[in-house]
Amino acid sequence: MSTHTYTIFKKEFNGYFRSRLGWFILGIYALLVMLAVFYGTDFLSNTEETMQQFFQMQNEILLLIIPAITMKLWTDEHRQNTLELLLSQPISISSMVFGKFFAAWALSGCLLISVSGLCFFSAQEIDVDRGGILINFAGCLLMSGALCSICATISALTSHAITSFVISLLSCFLLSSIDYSIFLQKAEISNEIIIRISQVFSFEQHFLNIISGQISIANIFYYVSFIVLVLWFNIVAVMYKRS
Amino acid sequence: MIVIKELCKTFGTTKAIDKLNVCIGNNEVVALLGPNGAGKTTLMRLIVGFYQPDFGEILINHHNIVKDRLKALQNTAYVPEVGALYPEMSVFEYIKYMADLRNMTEQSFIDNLLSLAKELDIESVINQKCETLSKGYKRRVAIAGALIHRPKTVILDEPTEGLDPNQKQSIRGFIKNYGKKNTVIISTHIMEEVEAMADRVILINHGRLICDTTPQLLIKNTSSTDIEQAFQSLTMEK
Repeated sequence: MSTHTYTIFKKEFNGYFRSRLGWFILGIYALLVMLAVFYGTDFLSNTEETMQQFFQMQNEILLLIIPAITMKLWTDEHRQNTLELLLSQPISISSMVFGKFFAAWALSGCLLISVSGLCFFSAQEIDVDRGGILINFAGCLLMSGALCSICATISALTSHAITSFVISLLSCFLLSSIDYSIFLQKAEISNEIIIRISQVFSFEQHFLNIISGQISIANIFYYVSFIVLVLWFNIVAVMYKRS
Repeated sequence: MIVIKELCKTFGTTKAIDKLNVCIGNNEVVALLGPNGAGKTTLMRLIVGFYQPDFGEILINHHNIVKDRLKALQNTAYVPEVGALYPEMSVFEYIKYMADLRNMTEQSFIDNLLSLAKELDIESVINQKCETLSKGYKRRVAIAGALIHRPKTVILDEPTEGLDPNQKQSIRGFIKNYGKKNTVIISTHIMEEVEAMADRVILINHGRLICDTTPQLLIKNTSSTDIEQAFQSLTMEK
């Protein structure tokens, strides 16, 4: 991480807790996790299946939370008229984009860490592999990184936080729920290679693979390349906004 | 030193800057004058690389702002007309953030902060949040943030806009003093400010250079009694 990226990261990450937004997000996340524990899953029955259900619910919760984390990343620069100031500093646009992205990703990581105690405590009660739980957290972290990259790019393309939140929310739901197999069935495509490719591009499939213990380099590569590609679009979006 | 060659910038069908050629040397305070919409802010934004020129080039200390943006901006600071502060940050945090963006060492940051806080009279608000500051303090804090690394070139867009007479006087004195050893470009509508601070006047209208001279010569050449009259005679639409 370059010095400038770290400076932007520090400013953005501290910014969450300087304003009420960070605390508000933490509160909402805790509430949603509680709802998932008591109503969404049968978590208290302490079985391996309920643990998996819990991590599947994390996917849904992160879809709601991450647009809120990222909505102000770039729109606030626009609202406060500080974009002009930031872009006239001797810093590369990629440093700004990565700094902001890492701040949002770090906050989502903190949220995940905040519920880790709950999972490890439950794992003591049932005979669950703790390494498996760590892999599940890594899966959630990778998916939240991918969601942060999309939402940060949307924030760079919009001027208002609420617009950014709504578009990000819709985009995340669309991306995670899109099932290419339906399109292929409708188009009556039964070619094995095309079906395989459609599975490769399925956003949720990779997450499900990880939390079901089938983690592979391909899953990690998918999310990392997804993040890099979307952040490249974010850089283009900032350059577009400048011109 | 800033060299502007054949600079052109168009927004849609409007020519904001039209074949502008200017050379600004070291250690001078240059007032950028022009009626509203003349292209002053666009020119400043082009100089600091916020906009990309359609044609022509800008060299800051021999570095091209498009091709070598980071080096060109290394010793340059810009204070936009509005904003430039993060409301939720304290004054200290804001200035520290600006210093970190400039890779300043802790010691030089503290030394420069102490002297700037004294010169700009912001010592009493150093721990206050930016959003709670008065307009005058906000302006001074924005200037302090921009000048924390003591840049050789400073570009200020309407630095005294909306300030009371005492605050205007204090900022003018500071800019005049800073311009003795550095290059300062200010955009303004206030003619008394030009007389008080500027060594040189660059007048633009419709993105074109109208005149580039000293305030005294501007008055003399237009047979005017003061700069305001000279400005009117050169920019009044027939």
